[in-house]
Amino acid sequence: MSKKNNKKSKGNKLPYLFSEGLKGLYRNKVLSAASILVLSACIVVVGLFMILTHVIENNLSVADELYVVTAYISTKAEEEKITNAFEKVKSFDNVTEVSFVSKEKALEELKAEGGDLSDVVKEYENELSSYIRARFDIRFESYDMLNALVSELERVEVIETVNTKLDLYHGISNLKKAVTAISSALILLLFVVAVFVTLNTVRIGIYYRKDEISLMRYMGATKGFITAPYIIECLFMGAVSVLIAVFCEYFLYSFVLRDWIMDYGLGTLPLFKEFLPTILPAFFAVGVLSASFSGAICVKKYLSV
Amino acid sequence: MIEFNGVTVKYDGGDVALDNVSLKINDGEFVFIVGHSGAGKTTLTKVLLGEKRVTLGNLKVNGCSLRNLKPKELPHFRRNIGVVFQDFRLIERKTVFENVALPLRITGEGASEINKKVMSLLSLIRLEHKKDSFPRQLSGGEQQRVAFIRAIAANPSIIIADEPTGNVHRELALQLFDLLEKINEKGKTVIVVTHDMEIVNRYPHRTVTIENGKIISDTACTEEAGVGCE
Repeated sequence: MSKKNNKKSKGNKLPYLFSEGLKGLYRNKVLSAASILVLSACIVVVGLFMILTHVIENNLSVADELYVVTAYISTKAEEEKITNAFEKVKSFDNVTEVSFVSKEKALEELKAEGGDLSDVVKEYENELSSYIRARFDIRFESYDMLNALVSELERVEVIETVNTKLDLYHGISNLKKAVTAISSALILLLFVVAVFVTLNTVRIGIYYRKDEISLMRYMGATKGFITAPYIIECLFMGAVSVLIAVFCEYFLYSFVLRDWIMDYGLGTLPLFKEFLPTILPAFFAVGVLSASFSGAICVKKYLSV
Repeated sequence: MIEFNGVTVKYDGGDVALDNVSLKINDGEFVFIVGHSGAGKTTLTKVLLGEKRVTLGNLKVNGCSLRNLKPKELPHFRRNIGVVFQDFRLIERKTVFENVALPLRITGEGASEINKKVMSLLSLIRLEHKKDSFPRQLSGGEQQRVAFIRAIAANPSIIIADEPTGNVHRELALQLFDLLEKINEKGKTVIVVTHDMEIVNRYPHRTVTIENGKIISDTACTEEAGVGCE
């Protein structure tokens, strides 16, 4: 057969094979619907964890307060030395901004933060003032160079103690790692679940059509012709699952999670569309790829043509 | 032409299904393969369809040696052979039209071509009005007729009918053989596997008798058929 005729005959087969795949889905409509729903649920769970990871990472990187070191100045330090120290600290590597908070300003801050206890703070102002010290609030760029910065600050004459938020940073960082690890494990687990669910659905379809498959072999149907409808079934189930999952994810995120977090003042969350570039590949991996993988296993194991 | 050259087929348990069979069937011949149950008739058709591998010897069909046939070439080889089964094997979930169209779909015919050919074949057996019926809605005879035209839909050069009249009554059996004769007149090679000797005696064609895997007799064709025989 010439190449042109070969192409034409292949093109003629595609609409038929596609319709056979869809007919297969409809024939086992209950099982197909169940598979699609399970797949969608798997993808939604994956999506939620990915959004959580994204949010934590985002908050970690934008939490300005974590990138501030407080260097407390000795009560005996002279003004000129404080000024010199200020200029010196500004020139250190990794430092982006330095602000000086005087003792008086610190006391005012304490009164402002006192809230219901502000009257108490006022009453004991004299006693408290002996404990309050001036400080440098130093903003830095990277936690990788924090230890070096702290060492340098400790060598500055007027600086008595240096406080960092290293523990909090590590805590959030570990949380992020844990969520990432759980997300990855979940994606893998749910991928396996998705494969098994789709595999079972297709396997049952193959079982009920085994006589037909045998007949097609006698008629000279190629492996591709016999297996194509099943692959199409799997791909279609995967694609529909992804669409359902995106819709559910959008609804859950935009009208439930986001509103809840913002109502309770726990932070601000970006719009759903900002997550799409991150979660869509994962959705396709779990949905379409798992379904295709199932189809391939079915073809190899149950359709040995 | 179909050439069996010293073909031996052994199954895994060591049973010999065909024992040194040599047989030549020319293009356009009508051949009966007869024998009692277990004689080797079915194995012969399985070997012809490439379903069973030859243990010894060689089988050539239209110059193509099945011994050298690669697995991916087998489907294309099978498109030259149309098979009529004893149990019809119509696909229950497909209509009459779709059943007959299936071989044409496999070969990649276009939709309009398929429609034309299928309707022409259905008119041959006078079942155009049942094109949208399902097999369960047809009588046994109608199902067998549909199975016949499905076997010839893709215009194969060889037709194998395995006990085609086993499930139908005598009158219909004769009608079906008339149909097979018409197919043969168009130049197709027809091989009928049967143990119905009444039919064999009624139609004067070459008859090959198999017993215990060996050919024990092979009659010549009648002169009016005019094709070469063993």
